[in-house]
Amino acid sequence: MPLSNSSGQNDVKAEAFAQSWPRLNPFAFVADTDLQFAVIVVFIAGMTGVQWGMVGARIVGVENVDSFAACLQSHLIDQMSVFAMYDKVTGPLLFQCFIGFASPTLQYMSAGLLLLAGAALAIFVVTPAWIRHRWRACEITDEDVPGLLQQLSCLAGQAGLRHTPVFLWNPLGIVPASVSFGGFGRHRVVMTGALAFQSLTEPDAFRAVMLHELAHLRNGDVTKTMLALAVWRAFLITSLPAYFAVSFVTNDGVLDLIQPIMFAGIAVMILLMRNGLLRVRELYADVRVSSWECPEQGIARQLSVLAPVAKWRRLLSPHPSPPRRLDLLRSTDPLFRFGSWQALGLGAATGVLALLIPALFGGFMAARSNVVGSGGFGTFAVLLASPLVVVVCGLSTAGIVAWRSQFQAVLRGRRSAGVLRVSFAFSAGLSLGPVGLLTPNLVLPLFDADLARYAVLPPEMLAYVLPAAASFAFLLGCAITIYLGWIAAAAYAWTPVLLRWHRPGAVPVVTVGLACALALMVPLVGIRIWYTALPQLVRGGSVGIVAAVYWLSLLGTLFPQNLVACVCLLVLWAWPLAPAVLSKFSSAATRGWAWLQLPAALTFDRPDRSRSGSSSADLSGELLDRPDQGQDDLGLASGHLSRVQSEVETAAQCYAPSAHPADRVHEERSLPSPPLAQLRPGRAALLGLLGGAFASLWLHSLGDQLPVEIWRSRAGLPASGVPVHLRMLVAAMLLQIPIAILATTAVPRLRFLHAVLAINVAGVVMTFAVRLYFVAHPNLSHGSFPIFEDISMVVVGGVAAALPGVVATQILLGALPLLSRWIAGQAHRARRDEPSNAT
Amino acid sequence: MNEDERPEIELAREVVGALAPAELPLFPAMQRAFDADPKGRGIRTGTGDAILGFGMSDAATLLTPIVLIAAKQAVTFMALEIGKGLAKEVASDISARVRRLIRRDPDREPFDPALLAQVRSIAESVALKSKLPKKRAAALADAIVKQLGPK
Repeated sequence: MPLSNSSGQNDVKAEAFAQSWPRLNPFAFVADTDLQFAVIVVFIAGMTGVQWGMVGARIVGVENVDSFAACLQSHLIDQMSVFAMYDKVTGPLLFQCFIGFASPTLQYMSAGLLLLAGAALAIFVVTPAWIRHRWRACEITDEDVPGLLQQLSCLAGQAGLRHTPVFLWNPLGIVPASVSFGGFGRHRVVMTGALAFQSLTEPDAFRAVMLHELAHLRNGDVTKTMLALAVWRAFLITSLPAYFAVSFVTNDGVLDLIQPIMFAGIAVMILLMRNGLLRVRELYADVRVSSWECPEQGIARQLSVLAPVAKWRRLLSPHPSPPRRLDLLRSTDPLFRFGSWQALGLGAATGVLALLIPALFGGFMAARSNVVGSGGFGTFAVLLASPLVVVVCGLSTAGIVAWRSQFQAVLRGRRSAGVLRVSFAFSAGLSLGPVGLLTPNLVLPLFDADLARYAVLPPEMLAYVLPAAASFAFLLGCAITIYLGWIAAAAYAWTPVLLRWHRPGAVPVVTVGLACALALMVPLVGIRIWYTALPQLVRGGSVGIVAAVYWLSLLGTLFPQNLVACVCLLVLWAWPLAPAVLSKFSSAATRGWAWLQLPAALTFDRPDRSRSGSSSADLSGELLDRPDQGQDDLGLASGHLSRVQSEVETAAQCYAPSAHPADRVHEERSLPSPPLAQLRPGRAALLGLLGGAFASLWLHSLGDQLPVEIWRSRAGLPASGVPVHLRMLVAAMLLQIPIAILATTAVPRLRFLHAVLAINVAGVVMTFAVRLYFVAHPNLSHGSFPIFEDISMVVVGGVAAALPGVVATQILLGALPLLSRWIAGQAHRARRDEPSNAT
Repeated sequence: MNEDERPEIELAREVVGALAPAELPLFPAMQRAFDADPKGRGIRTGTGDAILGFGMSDAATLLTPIVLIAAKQAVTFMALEIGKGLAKEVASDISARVRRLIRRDPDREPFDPALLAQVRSIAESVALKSKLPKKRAAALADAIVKQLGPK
């Protein structure tokens, strides 16, 4: 007899699930949590490097600092500031001093990172054995619990696992519980005797808990979680104690405690982020289980008997509170939203990493190659590329979130997905994270004059830098809003198209889309940084580095300069335009992938679901009437038929009172048509091609009238009184505005996008045309080359120039009806006045 | 002793059969686990908020492990108490027998001469350790043996 009777708490109503809004399928997307796990691991590695560097600096002692100061003084350098660092004269000298100063600490950093990696690896390898020992677990045999292994094997099959995990148990455990662990394909699930006993007495409850564990395996949580935990524990036992011990032993006063306190705060932040991610993965596991069987049958009942999580533990617990988990079973919408605080945290982590990683790797590179001065290619490549990788990783996470939010908005009949809120929270985190990390460097010199010598920024510069950082943060928010808005627009275009595909490929499409976005981002940012951004980066200070990367990515998008940028631009356009083309191909609508429902195999494989009324009950009847056929019309092998039948029966029980969820949505509200399908890209592109070709010919016909002036301007020579750039801009605008007007009037909606596309295509044509022209005429004077290139550049980045054309057209199109109405009104009034005059 | 004949196991099986008969199919497996973990340390396994677990559940639903531990403690206690009674009985019987030997009662049990030789050796060594002359020590040992030995 069980010691507790939980049936009294099981008041979960089946109607609540049957009547709830059809749930969105969160598994149709790339999980943003994977990237967040990666961010945490990199974050810990970065912290380890910094902390061991500080340990090294403390151990090496004052002599090293004094020799550094003496080196600076010998070169007449007042301070080690960013200004001196990148100055052409003082930079190389300062780097020479810095290498001598940093070399001893770099040894500590290398050792610390190796120690972290070794400890993490050891913990990862040992953890399964440790869990097994702690649980006093042994393998389950058929002799122990008759039939249990077969049941577990069936559940693993239902979960769709390629490899059945090893099932262990501790027969003496009196509380029903289980845990999955292991890694890299060698997974294990351990359970207590109480849970095994439930397989005999409460099979639904047992299935729910076991499926939850198997869902962790199916979702790929186990290896990632074990790795993240191993790195975190290695950090706790290696880096953190060493840093705190050395800090407290060698501290010179209260001010020296600020940095350890800050690092303790960052460690707590990492812990909270990690546990937040773990809680999200628990929600995904619950939702996965609810997609395999009727929620109220087991999982909801089990959740309702779980012990509540105390309020003070909610941030620390790896499990969400049971009521929240129950809510997620009814509606998965919260999984598609990204809270402002989450965005802030992700941004802060990305910003701090963007600062830490280049500092670490730049130091290594400088010490290794003994690069002197700001001209060192390798050092600066690392300094710029490493934050770029981190930032792109963080931005990809934000991109996935934007895509998911937009998907939810479209499916729920809304247009906006809160991109603005997330963008500014993310950018605020990006700005505040580095500021927080640099706070001791910025604040301590205010209290201690000696420290001012080694400050990143001179104290008196704070009053100038902080407002500049704030303005950068604002620009950053604008840039990220535009970037995420573009992703959301593409998602808005893709979703209705995907809903009409017979075989949905949301995960691949999102992956390809993000890859396109990254392919666009990385070269553009790289190009801009190498050619123009470096001075701005330097002058922007530490905070400005992150801000500038984003802002320049926006500039690079709008004003590309060369062939690579043109290709990137085409990639940018190809992504959202693809659904416009794909929407032309009719396909049997399945829509099943978008909704979390039962059974997924039917909605994927059935060619003509719309024919049969599409309710689960109908399908159940169709299948159950013909159970003996070797292969049914769904293409399912006979071996799978019984499993599908059981799924259909469950589906019929769950959703029989209502129509198929996707169909119900379809009946109540027609799905939005893809907005870019109305763009008529062929017409716009043709217009761009013709416009570009015409412009190329026209510019060639100008001959050598302008190139000399342009050449003078480019070479830094004084212009001969002719406002060359103004003339160039006017010429470009004259070309673009007609194209924009034509493009705008070509379609009734989406005029701005249409115009930009046409102008972009024209610019790309011009760029390629001028290149071809010079290839075909090698002896031609290169004096005319810059004019073509610059004008085509302006034309390619024609968003700004398209605006007046579009606005003019809009005004014209809006004014015409008003004008006609006004004329008609005047005529009517005249007719009305005529009789009165006559009388 | 056969495993099944162990009193605590027998008692536990009876109790589980009466209170939670549904758990009987798992009894042998739990008994084996209990033998490997006789202090029952694994009984509270899974009560924490384990990462990648299902969640915190504090309601015990299995009786057998608790019964096994309780039965073992009950049987141990009973054995101790029974042993205490037996020890008292045996101690008083021994005293009576020794007393009869010393008093040279007619119904006293004959004492083995080899044992008497050992008694003599013990008495002599005690006397020698007390710095008694060898001759007197031998006399003391002989007197004791004479008192305990046959008339």
